[in-house]
Amino acid sequence: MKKAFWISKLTLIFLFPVVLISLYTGTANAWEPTKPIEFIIPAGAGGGADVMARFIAPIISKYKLAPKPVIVINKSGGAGAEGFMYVKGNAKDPHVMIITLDNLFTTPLATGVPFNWRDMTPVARLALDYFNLWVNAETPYKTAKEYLDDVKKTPGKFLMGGTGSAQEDQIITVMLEQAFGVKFSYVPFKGGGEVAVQLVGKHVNSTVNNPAEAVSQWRAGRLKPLATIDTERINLPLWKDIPTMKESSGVDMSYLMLRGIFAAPGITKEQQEFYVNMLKKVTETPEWQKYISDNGLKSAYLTGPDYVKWLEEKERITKDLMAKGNLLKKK
Amino acid sequence: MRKADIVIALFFMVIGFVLLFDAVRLGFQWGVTGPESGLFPFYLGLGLVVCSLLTLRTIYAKYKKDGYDKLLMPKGALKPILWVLIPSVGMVVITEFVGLHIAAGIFLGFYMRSVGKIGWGTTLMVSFLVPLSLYIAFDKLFLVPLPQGLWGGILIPF
Amino acid sequence: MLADLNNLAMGLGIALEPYNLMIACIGLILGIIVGVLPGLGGANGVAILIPVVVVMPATTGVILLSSIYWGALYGGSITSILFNIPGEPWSVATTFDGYPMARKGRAGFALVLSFMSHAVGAIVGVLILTFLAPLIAEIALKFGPAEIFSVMMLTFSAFVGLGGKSPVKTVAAILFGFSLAAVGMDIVSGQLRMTFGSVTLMGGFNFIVAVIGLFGLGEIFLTVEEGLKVEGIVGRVRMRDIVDGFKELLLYPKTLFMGAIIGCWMGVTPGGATPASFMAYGFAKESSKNSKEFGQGASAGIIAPEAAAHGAGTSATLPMITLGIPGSPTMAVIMGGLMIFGLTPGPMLFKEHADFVWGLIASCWVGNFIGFFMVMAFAPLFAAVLKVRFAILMPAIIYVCAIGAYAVNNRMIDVYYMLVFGVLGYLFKKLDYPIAPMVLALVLGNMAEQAMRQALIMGQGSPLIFFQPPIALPIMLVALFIFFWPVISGWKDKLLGKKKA
Repeated sequence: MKKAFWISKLTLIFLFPVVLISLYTGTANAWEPTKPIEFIIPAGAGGGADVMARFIAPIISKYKLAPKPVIVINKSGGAGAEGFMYVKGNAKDPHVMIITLDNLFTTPLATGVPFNWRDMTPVARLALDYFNLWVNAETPYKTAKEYLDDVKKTPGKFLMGGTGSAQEDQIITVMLEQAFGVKFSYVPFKGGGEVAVQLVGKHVNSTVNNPAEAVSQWRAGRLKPLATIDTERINLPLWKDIPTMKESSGVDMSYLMLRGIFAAPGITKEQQEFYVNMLKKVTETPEWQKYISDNGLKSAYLTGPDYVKWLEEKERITKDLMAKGNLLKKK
Repeated sequence: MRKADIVIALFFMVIGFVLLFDAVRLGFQWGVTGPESGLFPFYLGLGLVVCSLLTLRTIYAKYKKDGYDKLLMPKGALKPILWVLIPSVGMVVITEFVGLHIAAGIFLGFYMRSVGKIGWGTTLMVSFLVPLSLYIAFDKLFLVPLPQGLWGGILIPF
Repeated sequence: MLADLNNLAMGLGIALEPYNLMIACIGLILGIIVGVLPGLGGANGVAILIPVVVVMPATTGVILLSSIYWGALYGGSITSILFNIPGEPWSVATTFDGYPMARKGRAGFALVLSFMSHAVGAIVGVLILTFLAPLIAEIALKFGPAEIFSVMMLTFSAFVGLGGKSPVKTVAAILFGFSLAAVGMDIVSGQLRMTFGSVTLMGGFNFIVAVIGLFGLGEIFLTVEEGLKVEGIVGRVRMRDIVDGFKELLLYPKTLFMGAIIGCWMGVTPGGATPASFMAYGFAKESSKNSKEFGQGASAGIIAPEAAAHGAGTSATLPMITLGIPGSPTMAVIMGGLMIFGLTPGPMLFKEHADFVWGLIASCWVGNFIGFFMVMAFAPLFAAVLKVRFAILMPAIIYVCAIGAYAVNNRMIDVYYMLVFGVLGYLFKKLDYPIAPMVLALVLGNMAEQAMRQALIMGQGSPLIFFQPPIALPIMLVALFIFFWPVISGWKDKLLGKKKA
C-alpha cells in the first residue's frame, strides 16, 4: 500500500515536468516559418505592388517580425496570372505569400485564367488606393462637371490614358462613361508614371492616376486633379482640398483599389495566424504610417471573415462593372 | 545540310500555322481603334509560312541543280557537340531532382574526369567549391533562390 | 550654368564624403559582378539591395543603388567579348564584333576599347544630365506613342544592312523574332496571345533567355566542332593594349560621339540602352566605309554600341529625376527605392530635395569615373578566366548560363528554353539565318507594336498620326529613307549609269 503510494508520488514527480513542458510548448505552439518566406509580386519591377512589397520586406527584417528572411520574387507574366497560379500551385506551403492589387479580380475575369481569389488563403487587407481624375494644368477646366460636359459634346474624341487593359483604370473609365453618358477613347499604357507623363505631354486628355503616380507632376504645376473618385475626401494634409466626385460633378462615385496579402491555399489556422500578426505589426510601424501618407493611401487594415466578406463584395462589383464595359473574357 | 534546312523551314511553317490559328481566334481585322490583337500575329504567321515555302523551293531547286549536298557540320563534329549537349541536358534534368547547384557539381565533376582527364583531387575540389561559392553568392547573399529540385532543400542543410 | 556648377560642387561634396565614396565602391564591385553574370542584371542587383538601403540616409542609399547600375553597365560587355554571352541585354550588339576580335587573339584590346567607349558614353551622358536636364526633359515630354513608334522604325531601318546572305531567310528570322515577342499578354487589348491556356506560356519568351541560348550555347556548339577544346584566345591584357586602345579610339571620333549621342537620346526618350546599342551599331555599320569588316572584329563595331549603351544608361537618370518615368528597367527599380525613402520622383525632386538630386548627379560623375578604373584594373583578371582548361571552363559556363536563364524570371522552364535556343542558334548559324535581326525583333517587337496601336487609338484608327509634325514626321521620313536606301541607291546608280552611257 505504502509502496504503491510512493510509486504514484514518484510518477507524479516525474510526470510534473513533462506536463509542464507540454503545457509550455502548448501555449508557444504558434507556428513559425522554418524556411525563408517567398514573397511573390504578380507584377513587374518598379510598379506600385513591387515598391510596396520591397518596402514591407525590410520592415519585417528590421523589426524581426519573422525568424527567417523574406525573399521577394517577381512573377509578372500574363498581368500577374503567373504569380497567382504559382501560389495556387503551392498548396499547403506555408512559406509563400503574395501581394495583390485589383488584378486579383480583373486578370482572371479578363483573360479566363483558371484562377479565383478563393484559390488562396486571404491574410489581410493592408490599405486601399485612391483614384483621382486628372487633367493637364493648362486646360481651363475647374470641376469634373465642366470637363465631362466637354467630353459629352464630342463622343470618342477625348482620350483617357490608363494603366493596362481591362484593369482598374479602364473600369473607372467605364464607370465615368456610364454615369455621365459620355464616350472616351481609352489608351492603355504600361505603368502609372508613364500615363501621368503622357498627360503632361498632352498626348491624352485625362487620366485616373493614383495619387502617388501623379503627385509630383501636380505639385510642379503640370497637372491638376479635378476630383477624388470616392465618397469622401482623402484625409491627408496635401490631399484634403480635392473635392469628391459628388462635390465636383454632382454624381456620387467611388472606386478604391485593394492592396492586400494572400497566402497559399490549404495552410493551417496557426500558419495563417502568423502572417496576420506579422502584417498587423508591419502596419503599426512608423515607417508604414509615413509610407501611407507619402503615397496618398487609405489606411484600411482588415482581416479574418470581414476581409473575406469585403473581397466577395468587391469581386461582385468588379465583375458587374466589367460586364457593363464589355471587358470580360469573351466566350 | 539539306535535311536540316528542310527541318527548320518546316519548323517555321508550323509556327506560322500556330500563329494563324490563334490570330483567327483573336480577330485579325482592322478594328475601330486600329488593329485587333490578332492582326500582327496573323501577318507574322502568313509571312512565316510564305518564307518557309520559298525556302523549301530554293532547297529543292538547288538539289535539282547540284545534286549533291554540303555537309551540315564537318566530319566528326557531331560527337563533340553531343558531348556538350547531352551532359548539359542531363544537368538540367538532374536539377529537377537535386537542385541546380548539386546538379552542376555532378556535371562539372563528370566533365573534368571524362573529357579533361583531370586528377581526382582537382576534380573534387573544383566541382565542390564552384557550386558552393555560387550557392553562397546567389541563394545566401543576393537572396536569389535557384532551383532546389525535389530534394535539394533536404540535401543542402544550410 | 553657373548655378549648376555650384550645385554640382555641393553634390560632389556629398558624393566624395569618405563614407559615401566607400559605399560607391562597394556598389560598383557588386554592379560589375551582376553585370558579368548573365541573367542577373542591374535591375536584380538594385532590387536585392533595396532592403539594405532602407536603413541608410537617402543620398547614401541612392549612391549605392546607382553605383550598382554603373558597375553593371561596365561589366555587361566582358562576357560578350570573352564568351559571346552577353552579360546584359545592352551588350548583345557588342558580341557581333567583340567576340570575333577576341577570337583573333585580341581579347584584351577589345576589353580596353569597350571600357573606354563606355567612359566616353558616360561623360556625354553625365554632361547632358548636369547641364541640360530641364531642357531635355521638355523635349522628352513631346514623345507620345506615335513618336516612340517612329523611333522604333528608325532602329529597325538601321538594321536592314545586318541581314544574312538569303533575303528570304533574313525575313523569316525577323518574323520568328516578332512571333516569340508576341507570346503572352497583349497589354493594349488585355488578351492572352498564343498561350493556349498554358500558364507557362503566359510569361512569354524572355529576350535574355533567348540570347543566352542563341549566342552563348550556340557559340559553344560551333567552337567544339573542331574537338573539345577552345583555342586561339589569348587571355592577357597588356599595357600595350591600353595604349593601343586609346589610339584606336581616337581614330573613330565620329562613331564614338554618334554612339554616345544616340545613346543619350534613347535613354531620355523611353527607348532604353538596349535599342540604343543596336541602333548605334546599325548606323556605325551603314555609315562606315568598310562595312564588310563589321562582324569580323571591327573596332567601330565595339565602340558604337558600347558608347551608346552607357550613354543611354546614364541619361536614363534624367527622365527619372525630372519627369518621374524610368528610362530603363534598372531605373524603374531605383525609382521604387526613392519612393521608399519618401522621395517622389518627378519635377518637384529638383526643387524640394536639391541636395539629394545633386548628390545623385555627382555620384554619376564619381561612380562612372571610379568604375572605369575599376574595370580596367579587373580586366586582366577577367581575361585570365580564358586560361582555365576547357573541361572546367565549358561546364562552368553552361552552369552560369543556366543560373542566368533561371534568375530572369525564377522559372525552370526558361532553362529548357535556353537549351532549345542553343540548338537553334547553332542550326541558324549553319543555315544562314541571321541571328542579330531576330534578336532585335524579339527585343523591340512588343514595344513597337504597343506604340503603334496606342498611336492608332489616339488617331481614331488613322495611320496619319505617324506623320505628324514636328517630331514623328521627320524621324519617320528618315527611317523610311534609310530602309529603302538599297533600292534608292540602286535607282540612282541606274539613272547615273544610263546618263553616262
